[in-house]
Amino acid sequence: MDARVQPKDNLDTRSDLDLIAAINRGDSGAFEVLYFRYRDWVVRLAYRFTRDDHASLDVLQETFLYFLKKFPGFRLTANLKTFLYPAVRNLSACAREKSQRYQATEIELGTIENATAPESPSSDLSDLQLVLAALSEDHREVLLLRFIDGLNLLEIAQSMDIPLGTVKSRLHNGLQTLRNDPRTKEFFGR
Amino acid sequence: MAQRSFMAELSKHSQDDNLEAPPRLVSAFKKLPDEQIFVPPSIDETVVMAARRRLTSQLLPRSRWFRWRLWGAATALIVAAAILTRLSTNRPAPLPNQAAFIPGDLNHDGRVDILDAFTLAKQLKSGPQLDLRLDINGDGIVDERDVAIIAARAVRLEKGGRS
Repeated sequence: MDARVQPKDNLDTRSDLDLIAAINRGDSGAFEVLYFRYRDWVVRLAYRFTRDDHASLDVLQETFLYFLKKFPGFRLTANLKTFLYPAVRNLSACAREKSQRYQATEIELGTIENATAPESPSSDLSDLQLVLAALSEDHREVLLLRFIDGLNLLEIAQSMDIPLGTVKSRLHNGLQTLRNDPRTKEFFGR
Repeated sequence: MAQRSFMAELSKHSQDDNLEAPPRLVSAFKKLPDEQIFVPPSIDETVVMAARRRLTSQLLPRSRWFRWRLWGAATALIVAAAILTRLSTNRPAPLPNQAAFIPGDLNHDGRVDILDAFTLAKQLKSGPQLDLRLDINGDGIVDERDVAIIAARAVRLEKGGRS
């Protein structure tokens, strides 16, 4: 690791709100803390969308450079993830498009359809992963945002820019699928 | 109608209940393997250096403006102090040993009365008086006419009240 850049998040207990206020005052150290606090989440989210290591790193960098341009004057009105999520999603979509264009010039057209599809589940994956992989991206994303990223329903609605009712519907349907699937119904048993 | 709204409310609550996942499922979600993406230091450095450049440049104009403002305030204070000092020095200070002279008050008791007339008359007997402050009628000469004016003024003041 470059001696000039060291992860600072573990040592800093300031809230996101306090860090945002400091960044608005010109404190670049506060931005570093925020970067390292959310870096891994952003890159994992980018990988969920792109399924590509290099693309997810590009998306990580672009996301925080985009976030940086919001200062000074950025106001945090909700969970920071609700702001970062759509940025990551949109940048990931752009990264996927670029990847598709690149592949179209190098590989036969027949492989493009598989390039954007989720990875085929391998036998090493758990039953839960297998069932999740079979869900639509919209339903799967709501479940992951709720139970892995810890967003509440309103935050999910804001992040995905969909009505709250749609979030509830997708969450309900996703859970119903898990409840009815023989591989995951055991989680709902008493 | 009431039953319909009741059923709708009941349906809503039951749907909200179905949005909760059992603890075992939540635990299984948490245990899903994370995609471990190695982030090279070059990525970290790019972002951090961009932040330092942008946020420092945002800070400098403010501090420069602040410094100019501070200088301006200090200059204004200095100018104001100089003006006040000048004003206070321009006011003529009373000369030492120079009491305020009341025309006709020769004995400097603060009032013009017949004693002042007697004093001037006595001084005239010793010789001509050159103190033009005693030239009450303003004709350039201190003489009996000035004594008469002081006496008349003294009588008038006594009749009308003390000076």
